[in-house]
Amino acid sequence: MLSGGDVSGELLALLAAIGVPLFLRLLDYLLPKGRHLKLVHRWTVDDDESEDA
Amino acid sequence: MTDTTLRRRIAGRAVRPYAFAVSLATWVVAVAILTDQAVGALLDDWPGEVLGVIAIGVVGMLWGGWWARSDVWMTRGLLWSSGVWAGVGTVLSVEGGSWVSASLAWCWAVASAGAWLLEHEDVERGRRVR
Repeated sequence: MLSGGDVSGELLALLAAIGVPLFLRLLDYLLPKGRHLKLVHRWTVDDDESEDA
Repeated sequence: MTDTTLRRRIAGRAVRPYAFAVSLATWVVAVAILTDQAVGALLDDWPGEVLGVIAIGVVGMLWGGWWARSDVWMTRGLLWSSGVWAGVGTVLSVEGGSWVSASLAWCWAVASAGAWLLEHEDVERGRRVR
């Protein structure tokens, strides 16, 4: 079995590996569509408009 | 939304530079974990082995998704790659590894999360790049 000192680090790592993607999915689900990249949209829209001109 | 693929194709398939890079990096860390080398020495028990298997799965999703032209599998690979690198960053931060290595791992996690957000939105909007 795991030794006491090593358990916390490895288990935390595994929890992070599983928790981070789930958190991102939850974030994506909760935030209104298109809002979580609103800042990126502002930057890219200007680029798109300059290409069309 | 900015296209995240290169104009040139390989084997008739679009190449996403970041997905390609993170697949190679994740492969390296998966091998390290499963062979108990470098960061794998800190992940030598069952949670670490599970993390190594997840990393292998991520590589499979990215490469398999690229080969099968599946944006869904590639975006899933990006999502779970952020988890793998968060896990690596966590163990390096907690177990007293090099702060440089830990920071780089967290940088990969952030980059993968950002790439997933970009790709995920494109997939949701119905854009397909083959």
